[in-house]
Amino acid sequence: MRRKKLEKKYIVLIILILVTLFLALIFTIIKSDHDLNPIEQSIKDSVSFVGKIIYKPINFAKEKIAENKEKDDLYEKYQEQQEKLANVDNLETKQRDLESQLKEMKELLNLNQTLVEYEYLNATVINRNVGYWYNTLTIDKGKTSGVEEDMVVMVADGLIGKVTKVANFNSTVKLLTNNDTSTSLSVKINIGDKYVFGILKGYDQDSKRLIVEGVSGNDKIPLGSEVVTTGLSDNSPSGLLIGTVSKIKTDNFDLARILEVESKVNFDDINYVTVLKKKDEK
Amino acid sequence: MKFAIPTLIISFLLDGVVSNFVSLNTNFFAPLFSLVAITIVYPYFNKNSNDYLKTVGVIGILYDFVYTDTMILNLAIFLVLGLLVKYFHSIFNNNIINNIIWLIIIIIIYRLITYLILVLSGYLTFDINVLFKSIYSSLILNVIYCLIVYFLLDYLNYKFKIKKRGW
Repeated sequence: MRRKKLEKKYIVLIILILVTLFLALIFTIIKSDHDLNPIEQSIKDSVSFVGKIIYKPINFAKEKIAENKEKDDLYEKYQEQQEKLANVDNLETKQRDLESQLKEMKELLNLNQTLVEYEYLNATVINRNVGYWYNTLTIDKGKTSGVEEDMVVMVADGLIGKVTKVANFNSTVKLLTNNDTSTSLSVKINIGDKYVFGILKGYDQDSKRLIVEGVSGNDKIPLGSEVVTTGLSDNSPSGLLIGTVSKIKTDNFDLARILEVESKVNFDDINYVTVLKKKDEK
Repeated sequence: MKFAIPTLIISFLLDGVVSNFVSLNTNFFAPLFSLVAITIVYPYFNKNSNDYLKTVGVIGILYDFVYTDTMILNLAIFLVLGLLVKYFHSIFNNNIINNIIWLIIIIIIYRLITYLILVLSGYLTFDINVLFKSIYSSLILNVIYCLIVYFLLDYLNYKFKIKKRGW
């Protein structure tokens, strides 16, 4: 009888050890930013390829429906564009002037690279956040198209995230709206003629706003100030729009400022993205 | 097994395709079609639970590789859920109502385990509302899919005179 009890105890102990080991293994896998091994890459590539084939005709129909809807408010859009067009000439002249100034300065300082130059790579989203918790997208461009880890990803309205995993023909993009407590991005807030710096720490699901903490200095930050990337990481260019400051509050100790940033991006419906990489000087 | 494996494969692929049509933070339509298929196809493995569990394991590991980049997390959870489905079939009748109830239980367990693991590993911060949302947002679409697949498989098996058996 006693022996049986002891055996039961051992079994419970072994189960507990196994569960602990399993959890430890899972933690390591989730926490580590491991590169995809060749088997993972090929499985991911082939399944994504099949998914892409299935998705293509459905996407075509979806686009046609969207196109028809767009036609309804074509006149309003035309008027909007006309207004914008009036400013384009001015902006073009200004850009040409700035580009030539930049070129001169680069020559003067013997700089090979600046933080604002980057190349574009357009990609289509092939699946969105299937794992639910991870807030990721899978795009149809991978290593073969020159995508690398940590490259930033944008849509027309601003930055949406960065590439975290790369296979040969597809990549995983982690969105800014993810709740991963370990990811952060350095940002700067444009206040008039200068910048204050901060760290983008996460996303508030309730208010649907991005949270910027660790704001430097004591300068007053007006609401509506633009928040952009600093370009201080390996693969992120400078000056990419993230959003605008919509609320300023302080932490629990009333010491540090926390900014709520409203992004113009509709994170719920992203179909096409642009991957950016810093331009290499030839 | 004639229709079981195609159902699993199609459901697995549909998880990815349908995700493009629902909002990223959807309130009602988060697809978990692979889990639906795992719940429904068990009787079509004709008492061969080893084959069933092997297939569930493969779907789990594919889910890890293709959708979540987590390696063995879904493999382990899918196997646990596969065993649970086997257990359900051993004590209850296989009918549509039971299948829907099992599916709801499976979805709750799946969301609960993944959420707890992600919270314990520090990936997410604990918020009970987020967990509830993840569960209720996965119910409607998957129950509808469950109904469709259940009756479709029933029809196909009737048409091709294939017997389905519970354990």
